[in-house]
Amino acid sequence: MKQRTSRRPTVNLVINGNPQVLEVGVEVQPWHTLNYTLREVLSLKGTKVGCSHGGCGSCTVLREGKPILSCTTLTIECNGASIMTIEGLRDTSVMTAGGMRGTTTGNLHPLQQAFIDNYAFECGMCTSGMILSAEALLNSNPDPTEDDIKEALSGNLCRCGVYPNIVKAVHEAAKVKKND
Amino acid sequence: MTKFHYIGKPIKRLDGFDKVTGTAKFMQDMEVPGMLTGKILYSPHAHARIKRIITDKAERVPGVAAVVTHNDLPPGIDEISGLEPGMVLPPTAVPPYLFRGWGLQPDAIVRCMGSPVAAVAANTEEAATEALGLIEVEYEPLPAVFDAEEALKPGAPQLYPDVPGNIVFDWKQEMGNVENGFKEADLVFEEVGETQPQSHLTPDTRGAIAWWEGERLVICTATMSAYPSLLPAMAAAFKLPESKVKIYGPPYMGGSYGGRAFNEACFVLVAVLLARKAGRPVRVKLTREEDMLALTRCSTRLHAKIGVKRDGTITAVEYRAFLNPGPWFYPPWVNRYFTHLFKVIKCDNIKARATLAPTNIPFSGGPFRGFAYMEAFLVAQPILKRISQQLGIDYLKLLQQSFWRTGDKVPNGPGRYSVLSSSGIDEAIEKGRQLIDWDGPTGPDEYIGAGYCLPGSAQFPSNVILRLNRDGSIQLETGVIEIGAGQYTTLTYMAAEAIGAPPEVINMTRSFDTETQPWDGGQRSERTTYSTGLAIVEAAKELRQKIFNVASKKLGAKADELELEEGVVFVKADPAKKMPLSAVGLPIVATGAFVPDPERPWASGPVVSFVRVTVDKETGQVTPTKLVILNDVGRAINPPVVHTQNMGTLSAGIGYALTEEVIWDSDGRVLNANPQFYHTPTILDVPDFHSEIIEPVDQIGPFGAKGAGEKVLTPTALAISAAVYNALKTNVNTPITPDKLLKALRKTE
Ligand code: FES
Ligand code: FES
Repeated sequence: MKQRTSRRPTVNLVINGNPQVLEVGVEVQPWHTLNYTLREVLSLKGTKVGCSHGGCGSCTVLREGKPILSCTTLTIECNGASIMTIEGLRDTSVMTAGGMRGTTTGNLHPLQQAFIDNYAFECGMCTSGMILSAEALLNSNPDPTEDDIKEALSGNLCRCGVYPNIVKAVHEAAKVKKND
Repeated sequence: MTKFHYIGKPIKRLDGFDKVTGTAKFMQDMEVPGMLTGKILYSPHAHARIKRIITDKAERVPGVAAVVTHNDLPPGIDEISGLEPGMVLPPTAVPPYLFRGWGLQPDAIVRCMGSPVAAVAANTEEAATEALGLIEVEYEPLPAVFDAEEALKPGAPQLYPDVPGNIVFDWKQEMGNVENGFKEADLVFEEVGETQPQSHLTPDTRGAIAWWEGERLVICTATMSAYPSLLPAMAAAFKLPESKVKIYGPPYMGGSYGGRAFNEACFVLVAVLLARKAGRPVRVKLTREEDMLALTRCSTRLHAKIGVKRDGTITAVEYRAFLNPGPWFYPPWVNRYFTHLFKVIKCDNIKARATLAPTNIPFSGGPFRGFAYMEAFLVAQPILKRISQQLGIDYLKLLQQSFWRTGDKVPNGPGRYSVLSSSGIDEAIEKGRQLIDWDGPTGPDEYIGAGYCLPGSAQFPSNVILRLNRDGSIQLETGVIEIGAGQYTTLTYMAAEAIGAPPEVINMTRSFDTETQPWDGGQRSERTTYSTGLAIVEAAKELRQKIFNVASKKLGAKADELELEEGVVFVKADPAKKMPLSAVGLPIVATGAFVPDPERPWASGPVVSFVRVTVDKETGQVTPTKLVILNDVGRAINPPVVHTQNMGTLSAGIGYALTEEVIWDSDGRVLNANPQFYHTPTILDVPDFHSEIIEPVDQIGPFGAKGAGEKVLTPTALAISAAVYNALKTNVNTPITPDKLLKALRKTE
């Protein structure tokens, strides 16, 4: 963590477990959205931007474990919060060697693995948001019904339209998580 | 049956890891050191002349590096034609100019709301936005027209001085003798139908980064037709050889669905002009609203007349179409539209006339999961519904008359025919009939519908390079970008199969790059598996031959006595004599090409959709409850991905049938350019769904594969509209929204 001496106000965030201190007026402006801060200031490009209007869900991240739309959330509103993005889901401390890209297992989160195994994406632009919305669901409801899943993901648009596979993937991940 | 090592079974997608971990890079994630932000100023008028445009104040905003207007366009830009190889247009047509209609216009006339009039490049988005607000434009509003039939009337507002009467072309063609055909008919049915503009709503919006390196132009953008369209356009615009224009894509495209085909050139040009003036890289990234205004599916009206005998035999068909692409048109689209008109209904006597008239609606001449299928197939099937009802003939029986079967000569371009190499249509219909329980009972307010479509395929060349490295690994180079349909996986596994090497040792270069990757016709019209696949098969043959030539010395056998399987070269007669690919010890390069040949049979697969819907006659709500898709794909290289494509495309079909429409007010202002007001299916709207792959034996495509994905949209929308027809006994134009349905219901009661 950087040491700060200036007297400017700061926004303190914990992003994927790493503390971040952002100076207001320098790294963060009062009008910056969390989406902008994550993508443009912190270079965490896994969080996508689809509409900037709260209409598509592709910018979903978790704040204190709850899904929020980063495009309609101001960074300064998040002071003190812990934020999880798609980059924080995978356990990068485990390195798996060998295998092709895309079939590597081991360090992927059960949802990530289930999305691969169930072909739950096409272009992949909605995937980060879908997975995080699903993660929030599984944390609060480890044994969701099909309706629960659909309800929880109804704010995440997939224009490629692979919804049935997404439902399957979330079901499968729920099972894996429970057995863990 | 041929045994395959790698294809034809479920293959995990190679792009999976990147996409589930958020490391996949899309256009929105691309950056270049020192790049500026470009922002565009759009016209608030549907039709106006720019009398004056003053940019001084904008230029003085701190951080602004360049402001461009129509005055910065290179000379001759309005004469660049977008005609692609193999495309036929009627001789009287106005040439399909590429930079017309949308974008900065050399004649300083804006022809739709949301057409660019100026652009700014600045250090920050804030500075660019501030500068846009300081550009002063004085417009002289001109009368506007929004309907193609209206635009053709005398006295209608004129869009272009060189297009008198707004007739870009008027295309007529007759097959057989339609007059006699109608004389033979016992009954004549007529219907008028319309297709609405549908927004692609690609998850990633349009974007481009451009810069100049002296006289060399570099562009990064996610387009589906870099080589056939954008490259020649940019080279012509700046009078450069194509070799001095480098266009490359991000590793992944955030959705396309046809929306990355056409006006890319007009939009990329803005970034290029800004970069030239600023002397630095400039990124232009459209907002969602801007993107939704930049291109939609074409708006069309089709009058159809069908003559039929009492036994259901169709004796004559006549079409009259009005095409409204907004201010300009996409040439290949028009070409395809005319082709499809002649194959929607199979009949010896067909006459068609299509007139294309530009108007001031938002730019809409684009393909959408299909090159004009919907627009051509839309009206015929409701008429068949009526015929079936009036004559008491099973709808599927009537539909079956129009199916093209193996060996049929199918209309394929004006005056051209191609032999259909195989067709699984009868199997598809039989299976579908059972799966939807066509003859079975229906619940209260439940109705069944079916739709069918035979796609075309864009016949463009593809080239492939295969490079064997000294360690035995292989580089696969194509000009292909992954648009989401699993291209990287499919092509890598096809290469593995064709070479005889495990897919694990093959790496396919991510994305196109016109400087380093070979020419490819683009990711459109379901052509990649087929065309690039055939080029891979060619290249693999050459690579194997070269490997055998080297290995023959080492294994002490003649080259033609050798075989290569699973990465091991061996003597066929004595498999113990073998060596791994790494023992070849020499880098080898091989190439392969696919060149379309109209004389060759044509591999295209029909697709059928069956649906059950409930129609609530109180609220007007239509709810699909079960959907069955049967898709003839020749051979499924990766079956789960075909199912995924079926499911994805049907979702856009449901949207088209029930909710999706770009709407504008009487001034041409779009009212719903935002996903909040433009309703596409959510996870709650996709019903119980069954997908079947039909795999007739086909000798033409690579391993017997045909195209798979986009064709599912049209029959799905048609099936839903047919089911609603059954409920109402009248046709309702899509999208069948509750208000339209209730109005139609009131009329029939
Ligand atoms: S980008 Fe945030 S909801 Fe669309
Ligand atoms: S995978 Fe493309 S939007 Fe969902």
